[in-house]
Amino acid sequence: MHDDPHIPDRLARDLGRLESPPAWPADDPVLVAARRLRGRTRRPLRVAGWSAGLAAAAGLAISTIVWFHPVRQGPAGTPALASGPASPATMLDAYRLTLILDRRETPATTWDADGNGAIDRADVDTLAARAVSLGEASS
Amino acid sequence: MPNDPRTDQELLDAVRAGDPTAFEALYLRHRDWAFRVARRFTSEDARAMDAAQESFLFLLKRAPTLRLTARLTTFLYPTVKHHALAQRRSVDQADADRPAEVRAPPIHTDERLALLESALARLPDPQREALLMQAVDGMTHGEIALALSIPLGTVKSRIHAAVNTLRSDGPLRGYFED
Repeated sequence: MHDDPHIPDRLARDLGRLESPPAWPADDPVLVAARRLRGRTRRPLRVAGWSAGLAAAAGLAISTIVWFHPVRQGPAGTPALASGPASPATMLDAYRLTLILDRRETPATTWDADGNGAIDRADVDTLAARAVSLGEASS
Repeated sequence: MPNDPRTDQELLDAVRAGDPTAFEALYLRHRDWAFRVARRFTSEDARAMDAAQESFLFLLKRAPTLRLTARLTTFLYPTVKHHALAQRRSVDQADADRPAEVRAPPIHTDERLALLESALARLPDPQREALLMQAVDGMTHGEIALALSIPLGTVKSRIHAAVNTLRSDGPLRGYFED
């Protein structure tokens, strides 16, 4: 086995003096990236606030429309979001589910937008929120 | 922030928890080290700076899932070296496309430092690398072995060989006299 090699302190100090640090630029891209990330960590909260507000407004609008303009024919059999909760939704889907629930019909399981096993007003809200999503969730 | 009292592990935990200042603190703490390491493999300060920055951008991407099992510098060393060597390859390619010119060596007004630098440049790359990791970066032999993925005995033999070469260099003998 090798003994631990000894490096004299003065030699180590001078080796360190050979390597002087640079003058880092003020617009150092790593700091810029870190600060951009810092900004992004706050952004979803703002987006969530906007989305919740828009979804609530959309839900209210849908309820009002359904209240004053009841549709008499039966609901469409299959929702657009047939592929599950993560699939894209439109405001029309939220509207259609509202109609189904108002008529006390039995909705297809594919309407379970929030995936909790029950199909209710929360699924309408989920669809409305998804419909007004600004797309930041994936960033 | 440059003097953030938290350890590297605590800062990484804070990055994971969403503390926006933690990554900056890590970077400001270690960027000079990363530059020094990169500069050993590149011929230009600007390239070394690029390599150091790229290494931390890599760390920034990895930070949310990274769990340190060694010191951050031990973990980052291969990354910095990789980026620095990539920078050097791009310079070498550019040089090959240009007329040959003699690269001026760095000049130290201190004669002893100039002699030391010259002797250091003559060391085989693996010996110089291990010597600087211990002497300048303050890494233990175990950390050097881990960072370079080589056996502990190889680390020690490389540093022994480097020290013996410097000791046998007449003008540098003074470093080894009490």
